[in-house]
Amino acid sequence: MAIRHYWPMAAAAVGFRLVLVLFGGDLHLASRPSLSPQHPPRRLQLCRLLAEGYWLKQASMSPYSDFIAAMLIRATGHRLNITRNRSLNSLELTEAVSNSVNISAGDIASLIYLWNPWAIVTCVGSCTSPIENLMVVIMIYGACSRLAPLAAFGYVMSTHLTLYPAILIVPIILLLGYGPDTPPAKVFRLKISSASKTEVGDSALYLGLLGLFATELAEMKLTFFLFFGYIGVSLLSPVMHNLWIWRGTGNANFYFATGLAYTCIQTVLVVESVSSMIKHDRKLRLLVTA
Amino acid sequence: MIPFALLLAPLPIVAAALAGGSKTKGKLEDECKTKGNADDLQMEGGSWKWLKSARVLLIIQFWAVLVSLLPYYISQIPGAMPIQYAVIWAVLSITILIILYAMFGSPSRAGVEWKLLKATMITSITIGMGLMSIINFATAQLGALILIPMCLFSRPLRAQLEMNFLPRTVLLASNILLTVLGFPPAAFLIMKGLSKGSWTVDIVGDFWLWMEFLWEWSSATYLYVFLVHLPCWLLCIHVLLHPCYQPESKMKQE
Repeated sequence: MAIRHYWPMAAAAVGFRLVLVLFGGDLHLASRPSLSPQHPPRRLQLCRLLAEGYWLKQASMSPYSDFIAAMLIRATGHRLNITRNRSLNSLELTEAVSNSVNISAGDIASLIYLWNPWAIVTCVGSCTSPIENLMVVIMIYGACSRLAPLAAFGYVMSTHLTLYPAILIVPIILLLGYGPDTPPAKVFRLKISSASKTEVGDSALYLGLLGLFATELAEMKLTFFLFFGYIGVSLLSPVMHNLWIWRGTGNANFYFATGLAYTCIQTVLVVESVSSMIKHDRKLRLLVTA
Repeated sequence: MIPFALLLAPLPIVAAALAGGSKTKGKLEDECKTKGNADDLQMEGGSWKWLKSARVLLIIQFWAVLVSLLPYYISQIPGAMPIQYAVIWAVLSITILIILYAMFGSPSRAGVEWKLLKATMITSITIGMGLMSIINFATAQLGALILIPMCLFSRPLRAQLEMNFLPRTVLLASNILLTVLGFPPAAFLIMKGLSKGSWTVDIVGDFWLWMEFLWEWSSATYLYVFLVHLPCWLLCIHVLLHPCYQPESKMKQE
């Protein structure tokens, strides 16, 4: 069963981004230090990176890269669903198949990505985060589809734009070698562990990718606490920015405190999602042996 | 600082107890709500039942943002008195709320359990007052004195019918009194009356002038009143007026 209002919601997300890009000039999102990472002085000699980022900013590629990334996330979800159903059919688990067919994880994941406020804010701020997220999604889609050249292209481009996706070479090799359904927990753990970056725009990517595991995470605990914890931590950033830059009563340590709170929430998310995944796999294993 | 922290610390515990309690009593509370839309995701286990209440909170927060932006456009109208500005503001706010409910669904028809709604309300004021205490501690403290009793005592009026006469009467009186006090113009009237000692008749116009003063000086209290206090008050109204139907098992027990 696909989500009934998927395409209107996807179109509304892109329209919302375009409206903010065209008319949101007073928001000054491009000058926020927490959204647009400034190049440190030692990297000023890399004129190529500066020119490249400036060109991407002028071209306003962000809304369309977000949309393309969402489409690729949706396609990845559909492919994972096909592979999962094939595996469950081979194991003769009819009931689990009927349950998993009902949930369209790809649609959920792409809508979570498109409507994440951090993705919208970084997109309107003309950051390069949407481009980087698009390259990571291309790599993941290529690996799940067993398209090695596409996965290699995504890996090279994402590692070129930022260095952090270099760590993803291990799960990509596992995906290409064993297939998408065999080591999902490993990809899951490594992907989540690599998500602890300094840019807040990156939370949109892994929170969206979590939606791909809607079936496995259906019985996850502490979701209420996690959801509102993320809201609270997200609201801490503008408050600390206001105290530091405008009112002058704060300092850089306030950002450090925000980072600490963010890391705590992220740790709870990783622990709960991995344990929920393990419980799901254990349940399937019991069904197979029974 | 310490009394404020002690006042704020139990709120997450209450929210977690309400959210968790709603999960364990899933079968008993199923009759207490209407069926959700077919479009909603029906997941097993009940870990995600709070999504509907989060959706209600999102709608109300969006409405609060619109209400806080209205004065900028209303003040462009030339040659009007403050009381007229305030009346236009109130009428437009109510109209926008009705339109949003028509578009996205009213909380009464969304089938949200009142305990999850109360947990969401308590969580939102925890976040709001926690952030406000960093910016303006005095405002957060005054707001806490009003909001926390209002939220903790709130309970659907229909659910109060199960109680005995005396606790029900006390709880009903407390709910009504706290809800009236929690409405921002009423709170403003009482604060002004207690501080200045004079009770003015033009409360609506004075409220508009006060809001205009806060807005012109870019005060954080303006954001607090409309993004924390007002949505919480509206959520409290929804908890009080929740159409909670009586479970048949409880009626049989009585």
